[in-house]
Amino acid sequence: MTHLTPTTNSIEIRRLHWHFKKKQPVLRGVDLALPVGSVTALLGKNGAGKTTLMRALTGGLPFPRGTVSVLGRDPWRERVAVLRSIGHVADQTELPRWMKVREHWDLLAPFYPGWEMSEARRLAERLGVDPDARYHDLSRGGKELACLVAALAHKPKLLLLDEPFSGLDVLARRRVFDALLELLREDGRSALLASHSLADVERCADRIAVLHEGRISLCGEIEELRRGATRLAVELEGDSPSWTPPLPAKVERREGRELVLYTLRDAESLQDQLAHDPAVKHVEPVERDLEDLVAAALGEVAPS
Amino acid sequence: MNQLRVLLYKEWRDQRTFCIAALGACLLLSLTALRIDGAALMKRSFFVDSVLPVCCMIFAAVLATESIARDAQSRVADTLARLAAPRTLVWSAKVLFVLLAVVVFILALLPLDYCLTLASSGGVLSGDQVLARPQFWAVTGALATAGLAFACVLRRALPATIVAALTLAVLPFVAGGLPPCRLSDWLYVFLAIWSPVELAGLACASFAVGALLAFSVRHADPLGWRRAVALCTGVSLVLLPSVAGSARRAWAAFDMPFGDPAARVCLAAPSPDARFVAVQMGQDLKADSTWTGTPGQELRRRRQRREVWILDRSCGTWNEIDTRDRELLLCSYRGFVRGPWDARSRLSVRFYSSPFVGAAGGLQLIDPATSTVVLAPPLGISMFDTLEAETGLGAWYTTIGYSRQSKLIVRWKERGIDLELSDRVVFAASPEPGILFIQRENGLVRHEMASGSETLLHTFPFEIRKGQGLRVSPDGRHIAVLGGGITTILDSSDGRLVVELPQGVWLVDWSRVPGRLGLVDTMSSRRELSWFALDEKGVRTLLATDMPNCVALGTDRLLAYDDHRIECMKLDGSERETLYEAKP
Repeated sequence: MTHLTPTTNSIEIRRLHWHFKKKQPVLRGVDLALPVGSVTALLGKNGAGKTTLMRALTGGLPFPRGTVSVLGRDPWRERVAVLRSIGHVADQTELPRWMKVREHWDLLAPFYPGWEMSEARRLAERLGVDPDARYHDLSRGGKELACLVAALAHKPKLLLLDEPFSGLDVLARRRVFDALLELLREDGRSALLASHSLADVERCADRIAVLHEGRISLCGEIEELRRGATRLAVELEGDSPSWTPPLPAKVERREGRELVLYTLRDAESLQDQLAHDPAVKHVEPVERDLEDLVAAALGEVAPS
Repeated sequence: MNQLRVLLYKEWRDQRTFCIAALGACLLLSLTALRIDGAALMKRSFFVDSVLPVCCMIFAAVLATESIARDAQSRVADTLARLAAPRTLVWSAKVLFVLLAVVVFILALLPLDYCLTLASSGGVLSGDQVLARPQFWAVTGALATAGLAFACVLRRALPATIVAALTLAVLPFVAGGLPPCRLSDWLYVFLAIWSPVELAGLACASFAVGALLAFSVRHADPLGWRRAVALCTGVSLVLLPSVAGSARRAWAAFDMPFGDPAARVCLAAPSPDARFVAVQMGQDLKADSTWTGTPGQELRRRRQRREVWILDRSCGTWNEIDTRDRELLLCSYRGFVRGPWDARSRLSVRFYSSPFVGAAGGLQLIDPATSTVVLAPPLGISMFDTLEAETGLGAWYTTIGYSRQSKLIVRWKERGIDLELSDRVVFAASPEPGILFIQRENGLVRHEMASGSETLLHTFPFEIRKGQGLRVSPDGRHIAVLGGGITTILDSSDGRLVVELPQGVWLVDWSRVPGRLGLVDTMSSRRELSWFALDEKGVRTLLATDMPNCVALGTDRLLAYDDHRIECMKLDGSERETLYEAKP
């Protein structure tokens, strides 16, 4: 196994394949790199394989093809070492009915060398988690906050968060983001966040990776992608129902002679090409948002 | 250490309610039992011997399965799987907790067990309480580890407990229920080698390893096939080498080689035509992996092995049927006595479904010329029915016992005539149909079933010994009565005294030679044994052998044998020939 230099990528996945059955492939050659210090949002449809990917990263799945490296280690073979270095909030965490938040900390503490009870208390206070509350009595959001505290208390170098904010109210969400951003400001900490909420993603992530049909269909820094992605408003000279845009543009909407095209690559040359098309009367770029980008990456035309 | 401590604490908190409730339930049961008195004394004994141990076993099994199934059902197991802890450590904590809890539970019940034992036995402590026996601890441990292992696969407590109990119980049943084959032999070897405590210990070890492997499966399928495969692998890892090692030398060791000094001649029976001699050989084996033959040694853990060899005197060759355990079939059953040979010189043997004596047995008829089995009725078919139907040498009568009424009915099968007797009565049947010899209060009578008439043959001042007390000669002309230390031979038709053998002289075998009654021996001391031929006039002719066993071979020869040697000779000792001799 190749140990990565810690300053390059926290996570490196190459051609990862996984299938539940032979006819049901979930991951079909996923390539993903998570640079140190970045917060990457993992997006995708329901059932796209985000949780499966998370399980592979935490040593819960063997991967017959491809390589996975988390903080320079193979998570399947060095599961314990990997889990000690990361903070993981799973989509569903169940604890015994009798267990209080503090008892959960007591259970976790011996297994994480970097665990600091003072840090756990500080985070709990900041996020509004009562250490003496029974875990089972907490609301869904309360459980998520308690799990987040448990995942952060040993100051992990990498955070894996699988739908961590779905049950949080607005205030709790704000507190969580503040805590997360504070933690991530420290040197060398990274996070991979699986979420469906683009608002959350825009708030805390600087990169996105879109998982679609078993592959990463879009990956990069959000700002850079926004700049690179283009939607073009086109007006045709006359009624030309058979007119089709040149590749890689696709028609998003068509109303008579007015069309809206979108493309994810090479937008400037496409605009030049359309400007010289005799059938095109006028062409101009239209501003785009993150939702359009993700929708396009998921193979669907985003609503205008 | 801290890691193990927190995991143990988690297990304790998970199972605390169950442990306390189980202990409370046992205490409540015991207090209830203590309050029962008088006629329920037996019930209290039953309670101490059975109910408390079974409660402990159930507690151990349920605790073990619950420790796994509870986490699996509540999905806490998934959370534990994401903990930065080796799976082995989590598993060890569960096993250690179950072990400690079961030990504490039983120890807590031990004083109560003693109190109950004292109460049920009137203040006498036998010192043999079930809860203190190693077998109980071993079986409880095996049940708990099996429950743990199956819970790792099934993820549910109740099915895992049931499957564990069935699995542990099924092995002896399989061994007993299988038809004789290599597998059943192999199972018997396995079961015979190990003591119950060792077997339970082996089960503990194998299921513990299996449970560890099943628990360590990180990527499990919904049906649990991967965990099942892991469990089987773990169990096999421990069990297969043990079993293979145990049975390694079994086949070679069990089959007695010709001339083996550890094998002894138990019985020799010449066929009616004197062409064949069936010899039953026996050997005691030390029940361990070496299976050493142990002649003459009394060992606690030994197994008896018997084989039947057949000598064809026409060509002098020895044959063995196969390597299975067999013995010559000598019937002495409710007045019916017969040897192993039938009129067509076929040999009746009892075979066993294991390499040792003591397993389920059945009848086989052997063709001595080829040493092959010509008839082997399935197990469960009465040997006597088979003998009657197949050999034609069965009794002309059948008996029906009514144990509740202490009655026995002798039925003349051909004519359907019944005679009711007390089942304590000593009787013998004549080869002549319809004739019985019965001991009545006034003496020995001859009963003719056709007419129902009885003739007093002789009166004796003693009780006739059961079993071999009455013996009718093969031709039905004479009857030997043993009692009071003497043997009296009477004419079976009129009760005339033919010969009275004094004390120390025994009729060993009837003779088929006209004019000769049989073979008798006299034993003045252990080393001074003399053999005589007894004729109808009571004259005894000394035979030229001093071996401990002697039978007639045809009309003019004698077959004499001891543990390691068989020889034949003429009655006067001439033409002596050694048929078998163990290697020195």
